[in-house]
Formats: sequence, C-alpha cells, structure tokens
Amino acid sequence: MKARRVKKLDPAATLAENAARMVLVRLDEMRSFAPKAIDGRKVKAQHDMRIATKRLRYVLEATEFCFGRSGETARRRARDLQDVLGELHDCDVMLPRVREHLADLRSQDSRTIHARAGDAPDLDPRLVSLASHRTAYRGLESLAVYYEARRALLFDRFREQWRRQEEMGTWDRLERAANRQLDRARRRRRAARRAERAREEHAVAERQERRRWSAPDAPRSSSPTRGTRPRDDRRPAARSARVPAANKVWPRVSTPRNEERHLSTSSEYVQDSPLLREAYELAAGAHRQARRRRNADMRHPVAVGGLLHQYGYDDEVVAAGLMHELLEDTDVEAGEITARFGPEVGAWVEAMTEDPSIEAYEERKAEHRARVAAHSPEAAAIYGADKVAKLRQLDRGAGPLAARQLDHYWSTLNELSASHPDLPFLAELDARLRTVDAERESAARR
Amino acid sequence: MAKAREIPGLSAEDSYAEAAAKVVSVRSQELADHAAGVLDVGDIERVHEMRVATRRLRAALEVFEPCFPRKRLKVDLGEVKELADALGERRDRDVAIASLEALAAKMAAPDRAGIESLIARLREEQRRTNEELARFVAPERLESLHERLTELVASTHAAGSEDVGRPPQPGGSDGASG
Repeated sequence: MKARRVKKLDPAATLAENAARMVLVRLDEMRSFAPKAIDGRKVKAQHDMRIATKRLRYVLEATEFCFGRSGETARRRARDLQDVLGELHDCDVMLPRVREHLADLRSQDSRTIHARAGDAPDLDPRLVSLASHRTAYRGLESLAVYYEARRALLFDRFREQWRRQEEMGTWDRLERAANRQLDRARRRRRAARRAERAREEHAVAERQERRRWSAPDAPRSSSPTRGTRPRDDRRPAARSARVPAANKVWPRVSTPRNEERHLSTSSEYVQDSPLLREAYELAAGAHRQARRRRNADMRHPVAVGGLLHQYGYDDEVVAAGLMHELLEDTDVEAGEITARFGPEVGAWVEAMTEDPSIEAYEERKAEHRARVAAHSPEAAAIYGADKVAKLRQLDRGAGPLAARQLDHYWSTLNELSASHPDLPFLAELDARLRTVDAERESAARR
Repeated sequence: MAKAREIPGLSAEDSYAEAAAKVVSVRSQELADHAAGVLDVGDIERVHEMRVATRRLRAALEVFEPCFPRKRLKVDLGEVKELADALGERRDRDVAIASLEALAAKMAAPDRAGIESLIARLREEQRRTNEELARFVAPERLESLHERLTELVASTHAAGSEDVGRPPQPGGSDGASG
C-alpha cells in the first residue's frame, strides 16, 4: 500500500509544525481502513491498516513529544494495534505455509509409493504404511486448525481494541493536539507578518521624521513628537537600551484607530480556548475577592494576556499572563495554579511574583528582573508584556509614572534586550519609554 | 526490544532540518552499534536488535525525507531498505522457528512430528537467509553506509546544497515504508 503524500512539509518550519502535518495524514490514513478492517473477511484491509498504523507509529516515535501526553498515548496505542494486527498477519502467513508444506509432503509420499509399485497392475494399500512422512500429516493438520482458530481469536481482540481506542478518544485527542500545533504555527506566522509590516512602517516613519528635522526651516518644537529619541546627555547610561534594529517597531499609538485597538482590554480572545476561559475565571474570581487591594481588577491582566495572544504565544503563556498577579495580589496559591494548569504555567506565574522579603524598592525590582531574565523566554515575555500594557495605560489617563518606576522600566528594557533580544515587545517598550521621557522633559521645560 | 536512544537537545521548536540532523545522526550510530554477532543463529535477539535499529533509522530517513538532498537520500535509503529486508527475512524464520518449537512442546506427541518437519524446513530457509544477510552486514559495507549517513547528516546544514528543501515530489512523503 502506497503511503499518502503529506503536503506542505517545510525544512525551514519547526519540527512541531511538520510533525503535525504528518500525524494528521497518517492518522486519517489509518482510520480510513478501519470500517473495512473490522469485517473479519477483509484480510487486505487488515493488512493495509497494519501498515498505516506502523507508519503513524514511526512518525510518533520521532515526534511524540511535540504533542504532549496525547502523542505518547497515541504512540503506545498504535504499537498495541500494530502488535495485534501483526500477529493476525503472522497467522495469515503461516496458514498457507503449513498447507503448502503438508501438500509437499503428501506429494513426495505419493511419488515414492508410486515408484515402489513398480509394474504391479494395481497399488498395494500396504505400501502406504511405508510413506516416510505419513506421521507428519496429523500434526500439520492440527497446526492449520490452530492458526485458523488463533486468527479468529486475534481478530476479536483487534476489533475490541479498536472500539475501545475510539471510545476513549485516543485518536481524537491526537488529532486535536496536531491541529493545535498547526494553529500555533499559523498564529506565529501571522504575528511575524504583523511585526514585519510594523518594521516597514517604522522605517518609513523614521525616514520621514529625519527628513523633517534635517530641513533648514524645520520648526524646533519644545514638545518633541512621540517617539523622538531622548537627548543622550539627559539619559543615564542605563537608558540607552540596545534594541536590535530588526526588532524596532514604531509605537502604534499615532492614530485613533490604532489607539483603540491597542488599548483594548477586551477579553474576547479567551473565549476560543477552554484553558484561557479557566484561567480567566480563576483570575477574575480571585481579583473580585481582592477588590480592596491594589490592582484588584481584571483590565490589566486581560491586557497582558491580550498582548501575548496578539503576538502568537501559546495558550499556556497567555494563561500565565492572565494570572500573573494572582500570587502577589490575591489569596490564590502557587500549588493551585500548578495543579490546574500544569507545572510550566505554575512556574511562570511564580516567576512573575516579587520577593516581598526585600524591602527596598530598587533592590526588590532588581532581584525580580534578574530572576525573570534567568527563568525562561516565556517568563521574560510575560514580564515585557506587563510593562508594555502598563505604559499603554498611560494613554488612557493612568497617573504618571514615578521617577523610580521609570528607571525600573528602563532597566527592564536593558536587561531583557540583553538576555532575550528576540522578544517582540522590546521595540514598543523602547519607543514608549522614549515618549514618556520626552513628555517629562517637555513638561519640565514648561 | 531495546528502547530507542534519546536524541540529545531535540526540541519541538527546532527547525525540521535541524531535527533531521539530530535524529538521523543518533539512529545511524545506533545501527552501527548493533551490528556485532547478528549472524549467530544461536542468539536470535542480536538480529532482532539490529533489525529494530534499522527500522528506526529507515523511519527517521523517511520522516525527514524533505530535509535531505534527494539523490543522496535515495541511494542511502535504498541501502538501508536492502539491509532491513535481509534482516527481516532472517528474523521471520527465527520467529517462526521459535514459535513452532514452543507450540510443539505444548502439543500432543503424535502432532509433534508434523511440526518438527516444518521446523526442519524453516531451519534450512534460516541458513539461506543468513548467508544472504552476511553480504549486507560485512564490516566494510556497514562502515561505508555509516560514513555516507554521516555525510548525509552534514548535508542538511549545507545551505543551497544540491536540492535540499525542495517540496517533495508527488508520492514522496514521510514514513512511507511498507
């Protein structure tokens, strides 16, 4: 049976995306044989299903970790299925072999007896007792009966196994996990395209800005436009964040339309994912109970999760973004988050939590920044999204940043730029901080 | 069956081509390490282990097919398939003999003669398939295969070399072994 072709395999794309494409085709191939294979008479369909199962198993052996637990379970179930179908196939191979051997022995004996008869007018029945293989006939007949009966037993087992696997949703879960990988890949590609467009827009805007300021009659406003670079002599060294050129994105705050889009605290994005709905419900409930405390509403966590979602991060990271303040601001404990969302999400939320035993603001923030940077790219992304979301809130009339808070944000930008230069939020963080600086400078001059 | 060796540093976020190099490199070494003593019919586990290693390597080559130069892959995959077939032929006889011996021990004495006559026939086939296998597991042949596979792995890194990364041809796909 020829394997069905897997389309759109791409050496430059991730292993997970390619593995998902292969798994979906191989899974569909295997399932397509099942309706016929569960009919005991359709030996060819059972053989084809065995081959298709084997192909699925081989793909999973190399890539199961891309699909979490459902990948491992599916690989084990494919192995079980392949084993029982393999034994069934062994019976199909052995049965004709036994019959052929029996026919050979009989034929040899017949020729021997015929030769012994010589010129006799008829065959003497007593010559049969001289047939050298006659004692083997019975055993071979018994063996054929054994293989026929074993085949029937194995077929029942196969049918039951397949029914149970479908009932338990083994293959549906694998299919969903593979589709999730493809969704992630699509989201990443969309985010990359958006970032690329933003980079292009930024380059155009920067060229126009340079031309405007280099013109001899250009107005020298005392209130610089947003995004104008701060004067180096007024910025501490720590504020000269080195954002990779490729990462620089002009802050999309210049038009009312963009303003509206980027300041949105809509939680619509959680609706598509059970995981995000659960995270949202836990966070909203906990924040409601903690309403009298600082940051006790959901607008900020929803904005952080929204940013992560917008940039194509996995649902687990978005969920951690939604819950990033829970340990600091509510009564929810780390164990509950880990138990409900898994150890990775639990660890990211813990990483978002400051050490309350450090009293001095600068020291506490410095320890937290270093811990986040060393933790993981995901923790760094949530931390960066948190800062961008807070800076976006300034446009919605949130109170001005305190000087030490601004310093902390510049240090965040510097440290994340050094440890995680590929983070998508750095360019916006850079641009927004420059804007805040410029506005403070302008206000000071007035 | 021996557990497949872990692939150091393999991640879902690796590019398909990077993953191909990592997986095939380990599977190729695994095959080389299982070649000793396969012609000994007194220890059928050896041929089994090597067959499993060959099967894993073949599956890896087929799963990662689009990451390798097509012509080079075709030659190397062909060699691995021939080796796998030769090991499979020997293994089929080994398994059938072992299974029939176990059956004979449990069946009534008058039935044993027939089974033993079939075993004798299978032993003769086992001898012939072992002779055939000897050609494929000769040390110089396996060494040459290992070297070629090492070059194949290196070719996944060579940007623009030959025809790496072209879309697969119709019919060409992953895990296509029968």
